[in-house]
Amino acid sequence: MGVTLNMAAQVMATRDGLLGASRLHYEHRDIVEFCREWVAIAEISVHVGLHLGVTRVLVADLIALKFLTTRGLDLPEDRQTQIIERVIRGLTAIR
Amino acid sequence: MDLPQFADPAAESARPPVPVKIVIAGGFGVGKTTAVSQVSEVPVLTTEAPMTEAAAALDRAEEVPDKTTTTVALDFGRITIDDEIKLYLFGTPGQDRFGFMWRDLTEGALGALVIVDARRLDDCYPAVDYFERTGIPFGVAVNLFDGMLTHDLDDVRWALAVSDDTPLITFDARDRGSVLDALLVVLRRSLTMPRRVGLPVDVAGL
Repeated sequence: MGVTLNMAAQVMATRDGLLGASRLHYEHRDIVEFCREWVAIAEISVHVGLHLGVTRVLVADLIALKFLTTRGLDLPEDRQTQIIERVIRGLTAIR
Repeated sequence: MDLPQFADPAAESARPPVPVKIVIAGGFGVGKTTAVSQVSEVPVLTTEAPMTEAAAALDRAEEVPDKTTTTVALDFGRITIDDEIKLYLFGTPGQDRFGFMWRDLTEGALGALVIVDARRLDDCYPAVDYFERTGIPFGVAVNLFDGMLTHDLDDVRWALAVSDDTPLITFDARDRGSVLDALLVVLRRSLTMPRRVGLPVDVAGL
């Protein structure tokens, strides 16, 4: 597997994925159907009841099939400060 | 045959959320799960992480007495920060024998909070050591189990041998505001550090 999927990486089903889900089996289908909105790899793991490592492998399969699309944790350097400041504001607001 | 329900077609092209994470490290029973549950918008979820390839290198049976345990529970929670950012909090055992997980856990993390029981400082040494060596921004929070600090904070700092600029606070894992304050301490520390977002780091011996 080329890219390691971070446990917090976001995953969502593509249109092809939702159309093709009924042709998939078992865990692959469960994963696609759970990913109707953006969810984290760790959340998929809990929902489908699989170890994190196994979930990563199956999600990678589905990304290769273009049934799922993903967003990792990589932040461009120039956005890091801004993102951290927004998290600080967000947590302060619910404090 | 039922046709699948489509998500809003616009949703697929809409910008995905920006996931960020903070790692909560500490020994067993130190208050990690309690702290996460105070601030998470969903009930704390538990997944199981199997030992990875990295663990195989650590797999020296004589040093890992309870080697039969090949998975470890990983508790996590979530806070939606705004319409774009989702913050995940991952709790991890702080002991050395779970070191194989730390690279995975800290990859991409904004920072880490090490929760300490002042009566059992030993439990958090490996985590503190790991975060110092890898340059991951972190803060240390001494959990006040009975509302009292059994050691002077200066003594704790000395015993843990953390640098003077590493934030060291007391907090109450059962108190939502107190947990949020501890997370804010980590984030402010993160802002002052040059490498703010943890990237994969290979550390010899882990």
